[in-house]
Amino acid sequence: MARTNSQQDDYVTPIKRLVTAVLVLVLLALFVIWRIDSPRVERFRAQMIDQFVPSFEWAMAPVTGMVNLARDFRSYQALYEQNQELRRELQQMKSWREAALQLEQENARLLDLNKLRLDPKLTHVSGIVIADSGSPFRQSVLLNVGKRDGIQDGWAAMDGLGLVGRISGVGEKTSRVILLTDTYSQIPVVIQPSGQRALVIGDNTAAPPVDFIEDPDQVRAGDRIVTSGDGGILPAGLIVGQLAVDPNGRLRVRLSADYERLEFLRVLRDYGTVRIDAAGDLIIPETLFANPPIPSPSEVTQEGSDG
Amino acid sequence: MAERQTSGVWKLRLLFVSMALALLFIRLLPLQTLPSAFGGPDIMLALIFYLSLQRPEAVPSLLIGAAILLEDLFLQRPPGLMAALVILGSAWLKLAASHAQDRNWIKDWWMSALAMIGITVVMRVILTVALVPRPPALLHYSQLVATIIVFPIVAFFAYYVLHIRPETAIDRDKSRGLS
Repeated sequence: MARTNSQQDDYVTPIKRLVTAVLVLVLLALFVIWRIDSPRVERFRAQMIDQFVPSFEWAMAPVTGMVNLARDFRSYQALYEQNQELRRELQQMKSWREAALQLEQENARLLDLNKLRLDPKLTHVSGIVIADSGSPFRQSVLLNVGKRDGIQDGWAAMDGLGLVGRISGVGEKTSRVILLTDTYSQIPVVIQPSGQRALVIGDNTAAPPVDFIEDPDQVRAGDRIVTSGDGGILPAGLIVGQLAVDPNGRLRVRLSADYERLEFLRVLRDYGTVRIDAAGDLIIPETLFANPPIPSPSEVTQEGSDG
Repeated sequence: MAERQTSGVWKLRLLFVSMALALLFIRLLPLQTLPSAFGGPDIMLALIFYLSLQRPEAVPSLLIGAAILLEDLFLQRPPGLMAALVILGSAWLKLAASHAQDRNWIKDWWMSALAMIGITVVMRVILTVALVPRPPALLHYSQLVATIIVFPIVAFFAYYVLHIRPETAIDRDKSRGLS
């Protein structure tokens, strides 16, 4: 018995090793191809996820619901304290509400005076979060809306409160939202009221740091952070969050969106975004297209001051 | 006899595939959308290494490659890299297991830990060389540590609950039952 086994091994082992070696080489080649021509492989990835994940939705939704229910149940234990806290917050909110109502009226009056129309292009598509990235290294969620709903790469995704991320990777039925907390996410923002421009750069923490502020002295914790719309990357004026300072003195965003539970997201239609179709393309200000290819020094300084 | 053995192997493979799909399914559930400070264990990797050590015929390279490549694609990792490294690690473990004289679970544990460390380090080196952004170091290493810690638990589960045991033990049981 043992002898036949070892004889068998003599035939099989080299073949097995060969298969293993070839397999490893093929997989490494795939990695290299991905490194060289990332968009194509990523498109393949999106297609594949598009094929498989929605077919599991029937199972995913109830399981997610059950787990959340169990979590909610656990949180009922803290109901009393939560109730007290909510009462206190409600008191504060009432005064804020008064202020907001007054401002709203004033705003409406002023808009009327100016004959201003809010941007009609900003309509939205709502989607349900069906899966997350599944890995602690990447922060993204998968929505159940895709190309058939007209979703395009680069559009902004918000929950009811604030910006959540951008669409990156669109399949027929699904699309992936790269969250602001992901290490690949970099969003140009304006810090109000000082109007300082900065970048919110995800670093896999719940409060992404704010970097490249022109003049850090002019901003203060609690300042509002909204998207600036620079570079045509996102529509301007979407609420991102509030500025906060972490114990190390680093400026971070306390995100407005409720990242703890992302269930429904709004994807803002935005046909103004510049599309990147090929790997080597760059997003260039349109003024560069209108003028000769090499901008004059005065233009450069103007661009610089614009941000 | 031989037929029964092969059907047993295929049953194990089927079990492995279904476990892989179930683990992937659980990981994709949108339960945790806040970034976490520490990485959870990679149960899939622990399971593969346990099987490579105990029942190498249940996890041929092709099957491991397919399972991890699927994970790579679904979990937004660089496709192919992790799959190649896990195949290499598992091949090393299979080889070591076939040559080892006296094996016990502690030895299995540190051998698989060594393979896991190797995978993580080589992965980071390759990502650096390829100029791909690496996963945050703390997250990556904490995942490594968590996976090493969870290995005995996975092994215990596989041994006692799923009844995945080394061939020799099963043969011994059988011969005892027969005689």
